[in-house]
Amino acid sequence: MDRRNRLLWAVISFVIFSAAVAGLLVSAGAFGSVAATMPVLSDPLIDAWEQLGVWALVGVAVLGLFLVWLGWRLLRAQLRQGGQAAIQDLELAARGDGQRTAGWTVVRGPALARSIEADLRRIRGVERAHVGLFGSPHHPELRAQLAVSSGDLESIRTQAARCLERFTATTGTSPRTVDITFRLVQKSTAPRVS
Amino acid sequence: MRALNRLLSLLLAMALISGGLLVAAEAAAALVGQPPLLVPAAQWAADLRGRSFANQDMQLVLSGVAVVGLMLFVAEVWPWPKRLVALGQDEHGFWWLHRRSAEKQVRRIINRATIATKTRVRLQPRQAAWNLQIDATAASEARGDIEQRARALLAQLGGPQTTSVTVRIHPRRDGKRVTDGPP
Repeated sequence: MDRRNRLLWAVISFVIFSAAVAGLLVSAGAFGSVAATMPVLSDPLIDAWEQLGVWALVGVAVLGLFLVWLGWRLLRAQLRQGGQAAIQDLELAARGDGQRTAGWTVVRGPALARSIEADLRRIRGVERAHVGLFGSPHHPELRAQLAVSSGDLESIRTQAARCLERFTATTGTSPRTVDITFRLVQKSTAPRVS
Repeated sequence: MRALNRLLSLLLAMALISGGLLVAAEAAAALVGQPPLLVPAAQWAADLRGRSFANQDMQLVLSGVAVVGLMLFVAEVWPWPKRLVALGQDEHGFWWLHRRSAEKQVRRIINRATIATKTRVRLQPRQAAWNLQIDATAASEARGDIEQRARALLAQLGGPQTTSVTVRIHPRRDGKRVTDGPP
């Protein structure tokens, strides 16, 4: 999301800058004195608009709705954590004998993330854990942020890797990609409750 | 930059939604022969028909827009320090370290365990190596201790063996030597 936002604003700012510089060049007479003294809304432009008649207004209305759609997509992407949709519920089909329906087990998407958060928080030195699961429930993208007060990250890494293995073993989901970020914090003085 | 971009994107999204709705509503009103709802488009068009690019107001507006556009573009392409430092990849996934939290931790340890005060720490990840720069107010004899503490912490964090640690010692402004240990 951050990279996409940066690219988006680099493109937007470049377009804005280029358009403004082009306007300044026109006004300075770089494209001739006729262009410099020409109205911003020139007569040929007005004629073209009037020739379109009602269709010009229809086009503007459609353009307006398109802008609304673009804005909605952008807003949704910004409000989602990591710019992606959280996973749906995980449906696990029981193994039947092929003749009868053996039933399903449904695990709510947020419950999956909370389960691994709880497991990660049990690691000594981990003060807080926040996990996001995105994409397919069976092969999600897993992003975790661990606030750790211990400097021994090697040990925490080893135990966090075990948490991931337990998560796969108990839920049957194998994350497609895993990103775990450590944030070093001061040790919490509040008593740990687990 | 990350927060600014997020804020700008949110503002742009809301501007697109409200502006798009307004444009569609204005076009619909014009289609059914109603007067403009909020935007006096005919008046604006008439104004722009009578205004050329050589007009001073136009030049002022264009100059302002160009400056803002250039500032934003430079800010976007500027190589800001990375938010995360890569700790490596294994069969489980990618492991990252929050850069500023690591800098704070180094500073805390140096201030607590050595005679240094007013410590500033900058961690720069470069390809396979890290570059740690420490500015501290202390006696020059403390340099070795500061470097040793920093290297020990980086080793604990899983930093690469080839990390270069630069310690710059600054004397106190009042000329007194910093030789006392931490309280």
